[in-house]
Amino acid sequence: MIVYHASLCDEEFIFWGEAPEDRAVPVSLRSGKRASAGGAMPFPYDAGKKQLEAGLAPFLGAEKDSAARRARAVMRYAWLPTAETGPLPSSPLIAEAAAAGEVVLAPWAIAGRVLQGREIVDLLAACGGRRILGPGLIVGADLAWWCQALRFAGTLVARQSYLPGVSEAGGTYRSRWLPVFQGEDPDRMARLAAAMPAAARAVSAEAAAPPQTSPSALLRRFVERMVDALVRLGASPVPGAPAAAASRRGRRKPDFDSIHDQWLLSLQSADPAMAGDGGELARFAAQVREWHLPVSISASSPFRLCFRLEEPPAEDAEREEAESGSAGRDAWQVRYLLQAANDRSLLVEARDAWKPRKPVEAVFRARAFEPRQFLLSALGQAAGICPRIEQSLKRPAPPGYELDAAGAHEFLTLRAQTLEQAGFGVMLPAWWTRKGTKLRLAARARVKSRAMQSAAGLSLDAIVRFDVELALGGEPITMAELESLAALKAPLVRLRGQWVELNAAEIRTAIDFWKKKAAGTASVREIVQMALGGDRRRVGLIFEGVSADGWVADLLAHLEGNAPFEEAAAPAGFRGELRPYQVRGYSWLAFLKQWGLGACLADDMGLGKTIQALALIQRDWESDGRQPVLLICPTSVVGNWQKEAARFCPELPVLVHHGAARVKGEAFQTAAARHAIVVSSYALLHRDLESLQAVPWAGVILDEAQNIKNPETRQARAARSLAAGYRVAMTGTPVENNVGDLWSVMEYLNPGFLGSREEFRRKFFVPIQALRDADAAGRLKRLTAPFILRRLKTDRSIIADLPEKMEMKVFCTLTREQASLYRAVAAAAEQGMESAAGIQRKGLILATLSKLKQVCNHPAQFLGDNSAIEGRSGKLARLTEMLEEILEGGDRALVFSQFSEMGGILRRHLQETFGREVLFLHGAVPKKKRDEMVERFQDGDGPRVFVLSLKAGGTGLNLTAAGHVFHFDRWWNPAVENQATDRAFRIGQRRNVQVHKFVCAGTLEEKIDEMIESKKDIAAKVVGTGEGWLTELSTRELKELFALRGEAIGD
Amino acid sequence: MSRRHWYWDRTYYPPSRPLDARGGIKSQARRGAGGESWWARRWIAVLESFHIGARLQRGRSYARSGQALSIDIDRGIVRAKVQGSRPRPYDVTIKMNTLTGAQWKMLEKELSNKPLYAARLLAGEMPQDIEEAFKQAGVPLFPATSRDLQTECSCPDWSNPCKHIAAVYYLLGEEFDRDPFLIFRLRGRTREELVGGLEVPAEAREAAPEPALPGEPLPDDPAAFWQGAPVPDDLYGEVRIPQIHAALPKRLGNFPFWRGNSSLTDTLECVCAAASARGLEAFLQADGRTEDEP
Repeated sequence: MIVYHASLCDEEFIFWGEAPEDRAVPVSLRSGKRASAGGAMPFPYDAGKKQLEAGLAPFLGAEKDSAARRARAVMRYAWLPTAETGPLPSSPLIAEAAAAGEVVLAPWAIAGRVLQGREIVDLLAACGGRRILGPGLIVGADLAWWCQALRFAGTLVARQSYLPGVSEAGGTYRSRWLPVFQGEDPDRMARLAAAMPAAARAVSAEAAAPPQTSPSALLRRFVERMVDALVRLGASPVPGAPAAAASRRGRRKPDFDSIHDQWLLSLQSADPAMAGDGGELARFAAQVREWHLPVSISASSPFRLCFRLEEPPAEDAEREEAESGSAGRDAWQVRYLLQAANDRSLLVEARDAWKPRKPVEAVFRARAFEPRQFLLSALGQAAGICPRIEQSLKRPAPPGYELDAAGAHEFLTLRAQTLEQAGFGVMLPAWWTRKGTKLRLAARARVKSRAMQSAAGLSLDAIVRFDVELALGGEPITMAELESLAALKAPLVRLRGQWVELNAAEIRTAIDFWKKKAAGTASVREIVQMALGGDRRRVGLIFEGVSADGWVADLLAHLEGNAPFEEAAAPAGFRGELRPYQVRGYSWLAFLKQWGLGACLADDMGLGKTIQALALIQRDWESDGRQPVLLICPTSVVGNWQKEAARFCPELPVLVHHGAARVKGEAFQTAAARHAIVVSSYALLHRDLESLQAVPWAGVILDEAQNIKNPETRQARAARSLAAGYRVAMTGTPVENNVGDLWSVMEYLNPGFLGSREEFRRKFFVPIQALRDADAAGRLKRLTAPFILRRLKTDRSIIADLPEKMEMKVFCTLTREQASLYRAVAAAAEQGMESAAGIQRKGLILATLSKLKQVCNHPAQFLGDNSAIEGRSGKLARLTEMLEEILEGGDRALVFSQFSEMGGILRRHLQETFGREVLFLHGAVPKKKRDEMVERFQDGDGPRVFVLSLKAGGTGLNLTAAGHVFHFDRWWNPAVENQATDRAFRIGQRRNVQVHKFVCAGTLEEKIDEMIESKKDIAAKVVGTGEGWLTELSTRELKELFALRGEAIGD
Repeated sequence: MSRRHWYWDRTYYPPSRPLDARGGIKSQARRGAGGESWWARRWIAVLESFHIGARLQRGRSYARSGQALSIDIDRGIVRAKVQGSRPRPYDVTIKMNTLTGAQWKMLEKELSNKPLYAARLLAGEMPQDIEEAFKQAGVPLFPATSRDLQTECSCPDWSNPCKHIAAVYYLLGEEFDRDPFLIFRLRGRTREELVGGLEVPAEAREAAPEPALPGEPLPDDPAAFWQGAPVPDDLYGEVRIPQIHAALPKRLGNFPFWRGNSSLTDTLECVCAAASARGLEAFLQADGRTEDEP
């Protein structure tokens, strides 16, 4: 476990880390003796050089040059809050924080790694938005904050807010890309600096005094460096290019025709140093600064020039509209204003600034601002961009200028952007957006189709004819109205009281279209896409929507959620009770399937996605031809699917295509054809693709579809390549919230619907993520909403359908290692039972039970050898997946195990995987600590996963903050389990609690579970409070119990 | 071969070849020579009115190939070094009459009537009708005849203006394009004197623009120390790649007496366009907003 940190220390970006204490560090070093004046103690939690390199290697590549590596590994001092007991760690994952007492800042010697420009960018890009970099590699809050600082630098570079310049330090001149902070940038920088964790500036080169640099100064220094690095980055020639190498080593005088050539090349290379005559360089640097002057003056000015477009007063325009319907004449205004840099709300009209009166003058004087000079120079610069500004300057003290509708339109569409880009403020009316007026004339396609008799024979591939209507805010516009609008020849008119942008070409096209009584044709699939706002360009018009009648209208109404589906009856062979919302979900799946549209079922965990999918499969099996459905899921749930299918759809033949014994090629085709469901895993989806592609699937269902969120992965490509009658994706993570992931899932479900990946990036990803374009976000939602069904267990309509406590069994698979250990233990027990009797036999049976349970939990628990954890237990894999989903949804969970060793393993693994603190309560925890843990778990911001040993945590605690309870292993006594479950489920608890009982399929866990289920009443009597009843079974029964059924083994 | 050399060196009508001048000041005009603005064109027109024939062409090509090694402008005088056919560069001076104090007074009165004049000048542009103001004040802005200019060159060519002078003259035209105050300087007034001591903030002129911010001690409270405040999600506003590249340096105009082999503006446009994409990528990635897993 390492928590990584980063700090800017003078000019060095230092990467360092905390790790749980190494036993090699003598305890005496962290005792109360703090640093003496001369030096500092070694930091007891120092991650060390090796760990730093190892952490960085995946992102930066290993440094091959060992001399360079040594040079970058440095010793520095971190000034950390320190108590009597030693430094206070950043996280309880490193060490328990010491009890309160006096806390002071003290220097601790740490190992640091100096990062250079490109390395910083690469590292921070890798850390972006992530809590962990890998198992046990945690991104500290300060490191995460640097990511934000890099983002800020990224915005400056993206907006091209920088100038080429020269810097001088110690007689060395360097070419530099200098950021220019204009508009809201200084304000943003101040807000960012205010959020900086102190750890980001806590490292110093000397132990004499703590660093003092303020957050703002440090941030500025960092942003300057990053802007330079980002602009240089791609422009730099290959490192070690002759010119750069020669100038760096100074062996040869760099060969340039002029200092300008040198500067320009240096700006584009990795090495910024400029060589040459000092006097010449100094003159050049001064010249560059002189050149920058107009920009540096306006950037440092306490006010900036703003332009505000004001529309004509409403009465005027209405009168005009009433009179002739003409567009307004010279009634628009562009007003000049001065806006205070440190207070955006402070606006002074130029009218009042040319010759300010007393109160206004005081405002200027307080900022040592000379308004007249500033206005002259700023307006002079702006005049080059906008000729009307120049015109206005022919009169003394201009307050702004007047313009007509065409001029206003030009200002809105063209001038405003250019002025803004040049650093001036621009204020536009609220009805204007980047894409035009909010209210627009919109073309709609009008589709006529016959009334729906039955869905049979209708398909999305049907070709329909459509004609065009124009509408304004939903109200159609007549031909006559349109012609009179066209006659106005004004790009901006007030129509029905609101400003509307008119596109002359579009109106012309629409009029032509009408006059020719023309009609377009499109497939219904295209119409659906058009209606949902997807591909909208046809016959020279951009369509904003579709109006339809007949069956197409019905289809659209269903898709857009304006008309309820016909609820499908549960299939005859389905052996389960569908809750009302499950009936709706299953009917929805059936509806989309019928139209050949892909569906993503994204219900919350525990709402029964599996059962809805199984109902769909059963229905098809009964009605359509008997074709197999391919079900792809993570290895850890293969067994679960098999069990659930057997439970709810006992008639359906299920083939598990998994494990070493699976058949391939033609044998697989034959086998698949005989089954209703073929269950396989993502790993095999790619590996056995050829076999899978050869089968004509009725449908393909992806469970935990977040596995294909990256469209370039092999499993995502493979999923898209399978031919199927219908496609379904299931996931419990909110895919619709992650724009980046959405494309891949949608491309699998409905190919082409969101356009190519490049188009999607341009139309949705960048606008939503970088431009905060609410319109694009809205369109994307509208376009995808019909294909994603997500219900939360907190939805009011769902809660009513749910029991307060839901118990589910989670069937897990054993890994191959677990299976062989299991067999070995069972074989040894069988041998022993032959000879043992009485108490000895009883002891042997109980011991075997315990061992087998341990094997099912984790080989490391059974072997007790402190070995690796990852990838060796099916249960652990499943628990991790489920907890990930739960944490992502913001919920909390309790995890019970009867073994406290297992609890320790779970805690360690979960902490490393999620980079969050996990609480662990076991018998050795004292009462006070126990209460503290409970309090922290119940608290809103506390740890969200609580591991408890059944004995220590099973009674008496109140843990109602948890929405999920896991029983990682089973105590074969329902009463004990229930008591534990009730920690989360208490009277007065309003929320629904889900109880997940883990069972390894094919093992004694499942068999005992079956025994208890089949004779619940007997169990209640016989079982008592312990597991002793099991020892009463006959040897034959026990052998049966211990035997491992074949299906249980995973990869 | 030697005869040939002799011929070239001794002829009385020498279309002599200048030596290669490396790192000279290069004309940045895209077409023709001289400036693009009306006042620069106006300046060049004066030269062309002298009817110096082929020397005009030669001067223009000298300006383009970067034969001028340096140009200094002072009140009433321009000094330049131009690389000709001899190893030692020629010294060129161009003198212009400066205006008297009384003339300036009258002019300033004219200029203050229209804010446009000062505004345009401050923005680095010459107001279209400023000559009108000069006329009203009864003083010329541009030289009208060859008598208004005194030119000299150390080259052996007897004709004045020679091609070296013409080259410098062209480059001056271009320079006026960028900074109209240079004409005023030649006429005897600096920018500051002209616009009445426009206050330029001192820090904008200083070498290190980093403001001296007061230090701030580190907090010793562990929570404040390790955890910062949350960064607001809407902090950055719209991050849009501009449609016009390198707008900021363009607002500054051409670099004074550019001597690079490639155009500064073209290079900056390329660099800025490529950097924008990278900046946006860094902005998205550093928040984990990326379509691909790293």
